Amino acid sequence: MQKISPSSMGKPEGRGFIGPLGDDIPAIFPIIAGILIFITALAFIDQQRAERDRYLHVRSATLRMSYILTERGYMSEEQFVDKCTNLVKPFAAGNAINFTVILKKYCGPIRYREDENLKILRISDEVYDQVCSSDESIETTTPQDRGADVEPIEVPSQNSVILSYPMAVDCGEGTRGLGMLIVGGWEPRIVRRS
Amino acid sequence: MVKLNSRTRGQASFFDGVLFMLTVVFSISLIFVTLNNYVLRTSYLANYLQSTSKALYYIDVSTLQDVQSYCEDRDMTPQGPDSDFYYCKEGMPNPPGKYHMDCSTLKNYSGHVTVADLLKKDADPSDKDVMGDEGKGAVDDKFGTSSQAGRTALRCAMKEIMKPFTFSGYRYITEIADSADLTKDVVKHAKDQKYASDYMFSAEFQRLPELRKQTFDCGWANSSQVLVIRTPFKILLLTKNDAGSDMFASLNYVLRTCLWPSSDVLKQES
Repeated sequence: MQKISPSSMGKPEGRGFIGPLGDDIPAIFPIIAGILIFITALAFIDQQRAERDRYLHVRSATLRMSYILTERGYMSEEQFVDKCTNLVKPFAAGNAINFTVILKKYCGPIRYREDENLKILRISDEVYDQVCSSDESIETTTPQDRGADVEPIEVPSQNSVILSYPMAVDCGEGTRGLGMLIVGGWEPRIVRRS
Repeated sequence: MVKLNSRTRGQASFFDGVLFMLTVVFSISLIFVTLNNYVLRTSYLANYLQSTSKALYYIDVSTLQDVQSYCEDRDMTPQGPDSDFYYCKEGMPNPPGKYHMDCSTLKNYSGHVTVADLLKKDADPSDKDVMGDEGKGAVDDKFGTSSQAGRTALRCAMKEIMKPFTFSGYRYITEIADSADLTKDVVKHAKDQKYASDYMFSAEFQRLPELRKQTFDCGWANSSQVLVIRTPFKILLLTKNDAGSDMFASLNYVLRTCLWPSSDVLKQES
């Protein structure tokens, strides 16, 4: 009597055995499907990781840039220009990010616009702002040029960060009032709102 | 014991391998998506609150005179959603005398008195002779019998500074505490409502029992997301040493700010 093992699924042992996978052809399809899904998942995760990595780089660089700017709780106009020229611009260039920093002088209650929380950096037409940017066209917009028709700067929705910090600013006659420092950083690409 | 042949062993190792790889993929996703995001967001919040503390040392209180109170922000018209809000109703005895916030009084200060200056004066414990030990170091808008609106200045400044968070659904509380007291029962050092918070003008706070209001502290926020930042707030006092000569003593106070999502409920009273 021929000896049949349960694992050979009724085949006589040693006859027609072509390996653990080859012996069970239908089982190969789900396995291959599983491998494909796995490889796809790996590729997807790698893509996500790369995207995330770029975002983290921008966020981390913007955070470090804001550490430079918020070293003290007060910023005069001269200090702003000095930090912009000597610290922030070289730092941003070294980290390959675009940036715009706006020092908003409210000197009283802070007024938020309805669209303030969108991905928009707005040079205000209501209060005097100081601007420092990697984009010269933004930076050279003088207070006199600002008005209702000044286009807000729209940063890319992906891989961009906008952070705001409280800051004491000069308000005239030697007094210092409340201001906000807005720090925006994004990957080298800029879109202006039409 | 089940005896495995070469085929079952092959399949078993294969599935072991697949499971292992899936675990690795899951772990990587978890690290990249959750952890880094959390750490960096917390860095921003921490830096914001630190900047807040630093800015208080430079902001002149007179520039805060136009800040509206939380009551003025409410729609108190008869048909308005806040028409029944007790704290802000006209003619009501502002129960809070303690939660009072009239920023227009700050116009009486000269242009060079900062929020921190006034707050340190207010929190200065050397006014104990007038107020007794109960009033020792109380942040109550008073220094002895004179008016020193440090608490009002803090409330007005924090209302504006914390706008990005209060508009985004967060609540905050800022208070002065003796760093030595922080390890003790919060009831002890919170009894004089020396805090600044948007929460004290909320309907939820209005419903709390009086004792609970008095002992309100960020410890009541039953949130796993509460963020607490403490910054040094030293007060120097001119005092006398044993030999009777003048010397400076340093009080190690801290400015403590807590931030938590407003959707989170408060801890139930035990």
